[in-house]
Amino acid sequence: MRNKKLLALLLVGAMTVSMTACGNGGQPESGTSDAGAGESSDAGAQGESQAASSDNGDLIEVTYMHKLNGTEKYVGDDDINNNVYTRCYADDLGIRLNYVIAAAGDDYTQKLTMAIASNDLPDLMDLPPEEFAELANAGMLADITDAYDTYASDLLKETIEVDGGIQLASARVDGKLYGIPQLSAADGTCDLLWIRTDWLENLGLKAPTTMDELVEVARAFRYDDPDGNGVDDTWGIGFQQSIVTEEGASPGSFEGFFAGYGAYACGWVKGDDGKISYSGINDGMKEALIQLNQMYQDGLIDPEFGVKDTVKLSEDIASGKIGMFYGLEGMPWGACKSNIENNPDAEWQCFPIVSATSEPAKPITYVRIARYYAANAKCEHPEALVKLANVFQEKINSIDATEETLNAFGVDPATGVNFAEYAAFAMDPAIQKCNTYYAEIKSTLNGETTVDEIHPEAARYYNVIKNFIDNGMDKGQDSLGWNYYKFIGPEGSWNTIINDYKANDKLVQSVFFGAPTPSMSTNLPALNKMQAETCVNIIMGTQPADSFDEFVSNWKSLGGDAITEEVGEWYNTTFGE
Amino acid sequence: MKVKESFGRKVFNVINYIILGILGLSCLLPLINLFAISFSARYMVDANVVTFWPKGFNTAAYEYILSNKQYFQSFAITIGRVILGWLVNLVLIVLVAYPLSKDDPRIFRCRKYYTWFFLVTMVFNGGLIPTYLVVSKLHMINSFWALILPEALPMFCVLITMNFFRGLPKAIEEAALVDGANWWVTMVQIYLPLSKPSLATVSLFIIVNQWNAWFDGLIYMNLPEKYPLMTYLQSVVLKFDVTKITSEQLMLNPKLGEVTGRGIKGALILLCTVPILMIYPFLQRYFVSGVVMGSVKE
Repeated sequence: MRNKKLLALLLVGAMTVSMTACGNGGQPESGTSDAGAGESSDAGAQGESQAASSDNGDLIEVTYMHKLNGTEKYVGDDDINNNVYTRCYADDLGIRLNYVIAAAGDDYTQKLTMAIASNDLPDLMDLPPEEFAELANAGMLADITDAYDTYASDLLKETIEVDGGIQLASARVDGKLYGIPQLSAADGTCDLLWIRTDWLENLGLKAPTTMDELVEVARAFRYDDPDGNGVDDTWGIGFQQSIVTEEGASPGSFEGFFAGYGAYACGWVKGDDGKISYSGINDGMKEALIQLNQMYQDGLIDPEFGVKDTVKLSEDIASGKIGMFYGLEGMPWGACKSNIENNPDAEWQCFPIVSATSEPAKPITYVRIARYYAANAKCEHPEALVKLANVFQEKINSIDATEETLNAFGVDPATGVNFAEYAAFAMDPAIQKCNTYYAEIKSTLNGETTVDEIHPEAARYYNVIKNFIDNGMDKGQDSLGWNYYKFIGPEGSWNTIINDYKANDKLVQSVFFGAPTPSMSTNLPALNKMQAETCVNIIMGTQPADSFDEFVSNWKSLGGDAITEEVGEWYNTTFGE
Repeated sequence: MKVKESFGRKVFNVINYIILGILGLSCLLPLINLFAISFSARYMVDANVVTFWPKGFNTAAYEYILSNKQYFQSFAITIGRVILGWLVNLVLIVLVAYPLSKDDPRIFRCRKYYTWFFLVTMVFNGGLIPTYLVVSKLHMINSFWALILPEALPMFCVLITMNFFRGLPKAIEEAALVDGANWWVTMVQIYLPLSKPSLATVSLFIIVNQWNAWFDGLIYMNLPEKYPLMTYLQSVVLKFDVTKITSEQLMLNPKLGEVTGRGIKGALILLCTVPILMIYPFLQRYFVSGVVMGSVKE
């Protein structure tokens, strides 16, 4: 008898579960059609007639495997398969986008491996460079060359090809386009020199313009009690542990320091002779390491830097132990912000990196394509990929975007929900939006343009900055205003430094950004490890500086030469010489 | 009568308490630290000055988590899997353990073989990929049942229950059979009521296991909205890396910058562990007594 009750309970449970599981089969809701209808580009023309009929049977269904950011947040009845973007796709394009697999981080790689192994790939997918190259070469991806030419809106093409199309070129195999790269804005990856200007003032110093001056400032920051608390608790310059890292490490990056000697820890640089070489093994590197070793011996660098990651270094910055470091343009959002919130008297400003030679220092930038968007060769509607990619451009990046579309499709400032994270194939231009935004904000502050004329996103930031300035720039009260002010405002990193780097042609771009070449897959991890260990040992003095030459010859013989050759081949086939 | 403690005994006690105290604190303090971090202001956490008491008290981390309905969805799924998993497990455990507890060959001739058949699964399993393929070919991917059925019969619990059944006096069963009860009636009306303590122990095992399981959710569920709580927790704790949030994302959405990764992780860990911590003290006594229960056979 009891068993019967249990059985009944089980069955009821089963029914509930299966009912909730089926509850998603969605009627597209018409709530947002007013924002979307009529605005769609040429791609939407044929879709609209289908969308006009209310019958769901007319929708083209495409399945999609998506890598999540991990910060997505759904409100109300929305979920991943029913939100402002999927409804817009259904209404405007007649495409029902069905997310079948979605995960963040490494979990996604696992899901993807599983899907490839069981030969169960959906119509559209996000692919990391390695898998993209594999599948494209195996003929498992659809050729979207024609679809891209036909359906990509002018805006999408502009977004993708604003860098001259070099990133798009990496998605071609034998001249055929197999995917769209998730664009990477390389110009935001260069190092700047961040300095606490209140410490400079306390000690009566000026910002360094040469390497020698930088060492002197570091020495003063270390020994002259810059914070005036009478305790010996400050370091000259902050570094974190990762020297050889393709993802970059900020704050505490070494790349900006090395660049002062014309070297880059993991850059692939095209020489004057047209040959591509690895700059982590050139002579400037050795000189830079000798200088770092000297600074280490003088006590200017925290001896624990070898075990401090960026988070640990950020803690030191936030608690006021560090007054100078190399980092990216976004530092006002990170450790520096925490620092001024802990101590409103602190002030940070970025400066151009300094050179140790008579040549001006040129920071390196990296193109880091995280993934490619591709369509399955078996997919019946590969053009859906391009059509869907148009939507995000039209809603967010278009100059016609309004405050209303931004609120509905971008960030709602009131709740902080970022609807743009729901979008499929969301891409920002291959050159940072900040480039145009800082200029727009600057001219508006100067009274040359009005708020209505500039992009609504820029207008948002303008308002915050204007508010900050009007209220006497009190960063203790308005630390968020300070963020924007130091980022894209008048004293912002974009305004003061990167603009200058770009105008004077001071950025060096690492030329390689394809999928790992065969020798890279087998040898590069070991080579990188060897390089990192050699660098750390030389800095800490456990290895003489001359051992760098030995490292270079080892690097070449242990696969480095083969990799260099493959990188050259990749460059020639991708960009065609 | 009071026995005077020897000097050696006193020394032992003091040292013993000190060691146990340190051990206890080393379990408790990280949790308190987490608690303090989860209620502290972001910039205090960033400067690493929070120890055991919140500094710059605020609840931003909790607001961040609780404003996301994923937490509640996952919580509901976990509650569902605990209840349903408990029922399914318990039914199957009793159905297997009862016949296997009959060691008289006249009653159950092939018992030995059946026992081995089940015991083998304790030691050997199919491995990750074959198991995944079986589940996938049975069309359970993305289905709630993938969280229940693959682990529907925990052999360890069967052993405990089986041994407990064996420890019950045979005379009771014989009396029931003589009075005309069949095997089903004997099991349901005689054995089950007598073995409540053992079932309580087993239940605790099952509930804690179901609550803590995260890996099955990760591999069998294709969308995060179907993750159970622990899978969601691990995805946040391991994958939510604030250093990966770009300055452009922050510029777009400054609210992302109001919380730290550590604050969110701390808050979520507490929100995920506190419910199970609440029921632990009430079932703890069964845990200790139940495991050895039935281990001595007359």
